Amino acid sequence: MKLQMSWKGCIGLLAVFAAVLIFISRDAFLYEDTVVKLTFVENSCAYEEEGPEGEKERYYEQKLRGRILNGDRKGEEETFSNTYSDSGVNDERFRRGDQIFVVLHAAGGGVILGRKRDGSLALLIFCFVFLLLAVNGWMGLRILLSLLINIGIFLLALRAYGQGRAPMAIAVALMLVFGALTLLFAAGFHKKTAAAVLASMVTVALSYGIYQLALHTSDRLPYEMMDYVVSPNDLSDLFFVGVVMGSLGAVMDVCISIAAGVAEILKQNPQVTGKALVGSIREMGYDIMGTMINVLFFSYLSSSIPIVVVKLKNGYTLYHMIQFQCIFDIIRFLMGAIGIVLAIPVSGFFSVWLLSGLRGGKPAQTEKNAPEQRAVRKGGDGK
Amino acid sequence: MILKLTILLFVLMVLVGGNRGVDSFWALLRTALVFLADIYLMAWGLPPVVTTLLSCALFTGIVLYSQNGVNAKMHAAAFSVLIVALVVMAAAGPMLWRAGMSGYNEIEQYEEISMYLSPNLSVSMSAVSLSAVVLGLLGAVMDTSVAVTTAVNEVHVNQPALTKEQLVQSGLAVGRDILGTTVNTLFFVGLGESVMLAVLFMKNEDSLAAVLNSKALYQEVAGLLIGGAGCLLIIPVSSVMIAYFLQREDAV
Repeated sequence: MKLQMSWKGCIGLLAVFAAVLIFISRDAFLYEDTVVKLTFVENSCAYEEEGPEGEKERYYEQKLRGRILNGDRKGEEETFSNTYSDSGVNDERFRRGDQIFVVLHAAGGGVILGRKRDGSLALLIFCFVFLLLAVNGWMGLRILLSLLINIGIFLLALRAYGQGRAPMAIAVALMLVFGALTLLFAAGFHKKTAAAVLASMVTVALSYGIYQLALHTSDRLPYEMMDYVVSPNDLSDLFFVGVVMGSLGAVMDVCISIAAGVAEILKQNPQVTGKALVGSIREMGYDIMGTMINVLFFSYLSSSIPIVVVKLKNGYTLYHMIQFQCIFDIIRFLMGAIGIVLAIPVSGFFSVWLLSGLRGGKPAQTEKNAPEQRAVRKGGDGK
Repeated sequence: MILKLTILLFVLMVLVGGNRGVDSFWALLRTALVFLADIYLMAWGLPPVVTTLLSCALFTGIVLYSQNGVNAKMHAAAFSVLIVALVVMAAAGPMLWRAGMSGYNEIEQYEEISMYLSPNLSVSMSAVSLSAVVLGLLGAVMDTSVAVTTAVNEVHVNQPALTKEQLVQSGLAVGRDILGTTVNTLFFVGLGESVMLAVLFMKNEDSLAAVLNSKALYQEVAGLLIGGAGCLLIIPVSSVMIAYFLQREDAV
């Protein structure tokens, strides 16, 4: 099996990554906090505690000894202690070779601040980048570049928010920039890209209307239950920015697929009738809808699994989970799914309008056309 | 609000998708039920890794077979998804374990709610976190896998003379085409989810060193990157799988 990269390229890339990882494992001199590398760990079972349903939870004492890697006392050894449990809900277990941040006491010993994770983070990033380049070659590089630019724009927007700009204004600007840039990267400078960008923007605007309508006719959302709450005054705006951004990727995906499909049909058969075109758009829509909604379902809802397990164990009800704990993830998912479904007719309309320049009256024809298309599809599947 | 949006989603799916929109909606509900059952089994005390692998098998059944029929394409897709789920568990498990990504992060630790909740659960949080990561990539992996296997099957139907090697190559080509948008979808989902965290880091004026080493950032990024890695891994795996299944079908 041929991959996109030569063996030499793979090995070179791995060598660079290995060098960076080795550097990161020795970068303690860059930190102001004291870094300690653990050289000796001894665990002993200390005591048991009872859980809410009578579970026995074992706690362990750790005696840790490590070498100080930076600061005035570099090279010296110091001992620390730590407690961890089997579940590890609210504590952490350290192992030999781990690097940790500590505050040293003048009288000896010290307090553990936390684990040093920069190396682990880099390792994850490298795994992803390596797979991306190995499977996708130069295209992979383009994807990577597009992601980096988007992260940069996101950080710029964050700074603008920090300087006091209104979240909603930033959100609008972000949508425009993200939409245009990402689709340009994905599809190049082409008429169908323009159709996809326009369609994404209109879809997002429509979902904004739907969201506001649903928001104002329902009970107030329990914003204080959100993760990582800081300032209480613009929580609803911030949450909405997240909702829109989360759905944007999926919406763009749908729009570009439909626009590319319509462009392909028009290229193959410029004389295609409006009816047949609408049928094809519906057909593409079916195929995309189910799987894309699934993608969002798993990505959004899985992130809250750990806290849900903790709360279920503590006797919280399913009602509490849905109404308070997971409500934000569920709303993000539902808005994303609605965006996907909306994007199908919207992008169909814009693609046909911009690419053929002739036909526009699409929505009126959709219903009539459906049964024939379904029959055709079923016939095709039977083979 | 959830109820209203769900009803709206259902209506839109019916309007845009007709009967098949209704089918997709029911499939989504079944998926949600299995998802919930998995969480309950974990909370009940069964080993999270086992329950999650079982639910992965159920999900492939619900999403792949019941929506696309029982055929060689879907056998190949289902096998590939399970292989990738296993590989990711085996490869990412030790990495996440080593990085200590489970349990409360430094921000949740000081939130009021975590003071009230008992941490004595006798459920391994690192296994639960790993399960969450694997479930998170499942949707995108199934999507990519189905796209690859259906396209290769189409190629095979049109040109039955192609060798196994050529089929694998066409699978890889299809995978590469859709990869960009899939990674993008995951990326924006992650970005949307981390808005709050990013604002928090900024308002707290945390140093770059603190952010890079925080558990909160690692948790957000790990799900995203491993999801992306899963989508990449599934491309060669499902290309090889579908080529194998089509060859076997021909031999019979």
